[in-house]
Amino acid sequence: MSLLEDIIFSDNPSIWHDFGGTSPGYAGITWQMMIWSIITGLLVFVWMGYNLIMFKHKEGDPEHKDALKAGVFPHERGNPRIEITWTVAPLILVIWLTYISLAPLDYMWDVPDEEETDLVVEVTAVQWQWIFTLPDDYVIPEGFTSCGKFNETGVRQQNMRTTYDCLEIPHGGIIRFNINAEDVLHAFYIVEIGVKQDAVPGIQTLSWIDTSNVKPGLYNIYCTEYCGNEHSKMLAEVYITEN
Amino acid sequence: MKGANLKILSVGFLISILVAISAFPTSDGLPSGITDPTTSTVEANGCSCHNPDPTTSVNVELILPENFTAGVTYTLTLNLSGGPNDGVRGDNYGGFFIKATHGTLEPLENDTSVQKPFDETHLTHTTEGNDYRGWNFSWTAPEKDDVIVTFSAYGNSVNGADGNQNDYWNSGSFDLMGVNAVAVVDVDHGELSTPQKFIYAFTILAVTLGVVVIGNRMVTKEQSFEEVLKDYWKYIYPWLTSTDHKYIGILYIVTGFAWFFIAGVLGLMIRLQLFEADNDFLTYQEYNSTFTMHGTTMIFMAAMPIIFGFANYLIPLQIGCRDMAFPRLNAMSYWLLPTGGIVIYMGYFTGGAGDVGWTGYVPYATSETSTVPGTDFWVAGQIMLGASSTLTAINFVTTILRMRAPGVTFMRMPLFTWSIFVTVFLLLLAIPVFAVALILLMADRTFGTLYFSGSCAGDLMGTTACSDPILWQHLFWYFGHPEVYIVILPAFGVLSEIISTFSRRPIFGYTSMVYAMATIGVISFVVYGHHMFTTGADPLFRFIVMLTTMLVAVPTGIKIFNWLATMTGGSIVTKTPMIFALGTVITFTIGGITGIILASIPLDIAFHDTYFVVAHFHYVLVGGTIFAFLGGVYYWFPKMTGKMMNETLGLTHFAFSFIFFNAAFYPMHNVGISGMPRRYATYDPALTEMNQFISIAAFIFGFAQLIFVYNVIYSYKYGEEAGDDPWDGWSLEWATSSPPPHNSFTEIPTLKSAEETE
Repeated sequence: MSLLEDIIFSDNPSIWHDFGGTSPGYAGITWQMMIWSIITGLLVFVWMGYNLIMFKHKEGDPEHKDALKAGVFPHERGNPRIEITWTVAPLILVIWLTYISLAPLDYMWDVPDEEETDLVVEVTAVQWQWIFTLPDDYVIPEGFTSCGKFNETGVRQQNMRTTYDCLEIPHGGIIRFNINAEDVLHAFYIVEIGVKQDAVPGIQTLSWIDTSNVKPGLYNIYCTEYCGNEHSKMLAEVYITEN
Repeated sequence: MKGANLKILSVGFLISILVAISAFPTSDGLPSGITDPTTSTVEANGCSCHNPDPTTSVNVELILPENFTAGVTYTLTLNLSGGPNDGVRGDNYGGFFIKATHGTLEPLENDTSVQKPFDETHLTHTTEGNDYRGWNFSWTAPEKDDVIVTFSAYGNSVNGADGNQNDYWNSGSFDLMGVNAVAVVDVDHGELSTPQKFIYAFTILAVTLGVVVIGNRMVTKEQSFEEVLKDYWKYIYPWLTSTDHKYIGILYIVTGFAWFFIAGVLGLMIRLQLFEADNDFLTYQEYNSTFTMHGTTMIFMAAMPIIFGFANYLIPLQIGCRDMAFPRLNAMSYWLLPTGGIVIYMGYFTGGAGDVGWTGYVPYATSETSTVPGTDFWVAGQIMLGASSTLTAINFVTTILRMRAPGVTFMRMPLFTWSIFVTVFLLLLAIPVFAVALILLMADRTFGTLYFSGSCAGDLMGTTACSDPILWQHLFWYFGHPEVYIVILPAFGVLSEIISTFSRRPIFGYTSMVYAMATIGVISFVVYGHHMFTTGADPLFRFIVMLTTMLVAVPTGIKIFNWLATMTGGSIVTKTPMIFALGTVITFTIGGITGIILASIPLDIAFHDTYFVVAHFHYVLVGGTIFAFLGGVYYWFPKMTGKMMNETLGLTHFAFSFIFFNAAFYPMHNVGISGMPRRYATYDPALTEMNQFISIAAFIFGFAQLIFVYNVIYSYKYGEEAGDDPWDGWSLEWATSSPPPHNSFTEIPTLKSAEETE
């Protein structure tokens, strides 16, 4: 993608796909924000351009009747009807934007209980590493080997139930993340899916994804809460694999 | 005579710059690495060509005995730390190479990790040996023990992945003395960090310039050193001792712009580091210090001083009094500012400035992994700046409440005065909270208290109490969000003044402007939770702050529409201050819109702590505050100096600033949407193109500000005479002379009203 295309059509990999179907298409929060941003921006820029073209000062213009004079508080200008209009209209707009934020919010914050999920992953963040632990009773499907590297003698280098900086989860399931931090604040951010949750020492935080909403493949995990020297290297991979 | 003097001076300047450049420490402090004559042997054993340059983040350590006796065999250990994959996992993650000037190196018996290649004198790792980060081997001392043996060791820190990318290496030279050797004292100069290089270079420049300027005076005027100093002292003394609001105002403004320049250089260092992925221009630690100091300096030592400089200069003039209510307190507020700033920057001389981000999030800020004592200096300096702002706030509240001239009622105050009036209330309510939080943080760091650290302490009854790291975020953002409005509200005041004056008519909806500012001030205290959407705070709390944050758009919208309505039907004069004001309205509108996008929690969860946020607040703080106050300089410079600023230079400055500001910061939205987190020293190489575009634009934006510096100096010397009211403004500062007399007003003015005079 060229630079220009990048600036004009920024593709949106990080917005969670439709927020689980609660916020699809032009009625959804992403598009509504886009549309109203453009309308508001255009309103201001066009009005300003109009002012600059129509009311530019020319040599010899007569002095305005309420022109300013040093040391004199000028006539007050205003029009209550217009002023109330541009108070109420933005008010309605932001209430509308708040309202359409609610459905996706409800969906994201309704973290499923552990019994309702297909897999609970314990995520531990330490300086500067992600550790993923799968439950003991979880049967790791055959072929889930993306996170295990083999050495020359054919022995798997990593214990598959605990993996470092790498996670493999099934496609088409509800995955819950119990997020812990051992030392300082970190944040668990699956870049292309748009899930972000701080990891706070002493407090377990929760996050979840429905992997049937995303394509199988490799996704990236970044740490997005500043955590020290190797913050920008605290990366991990998550493979969403079809059974 | 004068021309000849100028010629001598400029030659002196040139020479001083040349001297400074030649003395500029270069970055070539390390040995040249694995090159001739060792290249061929190292290459033959496969542990070079990973990376062309050594990296300071890799540590090569050779454990040696204190000295050696002739003929004895010693076991030596070489350890490698730092670099990629510095943990305890994976294989293929290290290699080494060692050579000694005397004696014989041999692998230990039965050790398969170290080998001595046939017909060579050095040791290196074997295939098996590259799974380790430490190696043991033996060294037999030479027959003479009156020599100093030098070991040259190279360590390669490998990330275990295929290929040589992201592997880093370093080398070290270690001396071992024989028992009878005589030591030659050799001072180790060590490697200078990049910020140190800048500081040293600036110091060298300043000292050489001082020598040239004073020396020139001594030679041309045949004065003694003391006489020259006395002569300069005459000019410096009033600035050091004055309690006059005009002097203090200009001191504030100049100090603010000076820190703005320093923080700008830091910002450009960030952009240089981000010019390509995995750049090693700065180490990660230096990078973290750089963005911390950039943010802290810009907010507390650049934006706020510039604002309070203008407020100091203008508020007494606009409300028609001779000085601030507490002039000595005012001077103290000012002098706390450079002092606090220097304390914060002290970190650079102690092995790394504070690296906790301008937000100083705990428990990182209380942990041992943050810079010590750089972060302590950061905290201490911030407390001083907090004291400074609190005193300023008290001063302004008193002045505006008690010292208005006849006719200046509340609803006839200029809008800039109103904006400062609202701002100082925010300061008074917000800054002390931050100061207290900083003191608690200081206690955590130095006395081992547990306010924020997230760890637990048990008492004798067996109960444990744990501190909550989120507490800091509540305290910080309770202050931090009003702080943002503290920085933007005065800009609204400046815009209102400029737009009204240059449209040649009164502001549209004066009363609603005042109420809008007051509303923004009140709402600012109940929105701070929007910085904490991803912390896992109470959902109800998060929902409420989403709503209140959205509501900020309403009074802000009123202000923008009122400005536009002021222009409609007016007679718009497009001089530099107006052009800057209109540019500000555009960039601020963009920043406001992205603010609404970020207020929506579902979208904020995706954008939080990415470059989208960076783009948003640069649009608001640079595109809003800094642009507005640059316009303010062009607008009030004639009042402060009595000279007009150069229009051509001003418009050029605007054109470069506006275009390259947008070129630098607009693409950051896209970089952020693509998922690049803020405070990252490196990034996904797919984003290289965008980041390079941003960096180049940022550099041009930075250099464009030199036009402004030149314009100020040029106009101060050669500008046209301004007269009392060059722009036809109405407020009382235009009713006194330019520059104002010593007491600001020879007699206290009365503000008339257009309604009454007719």
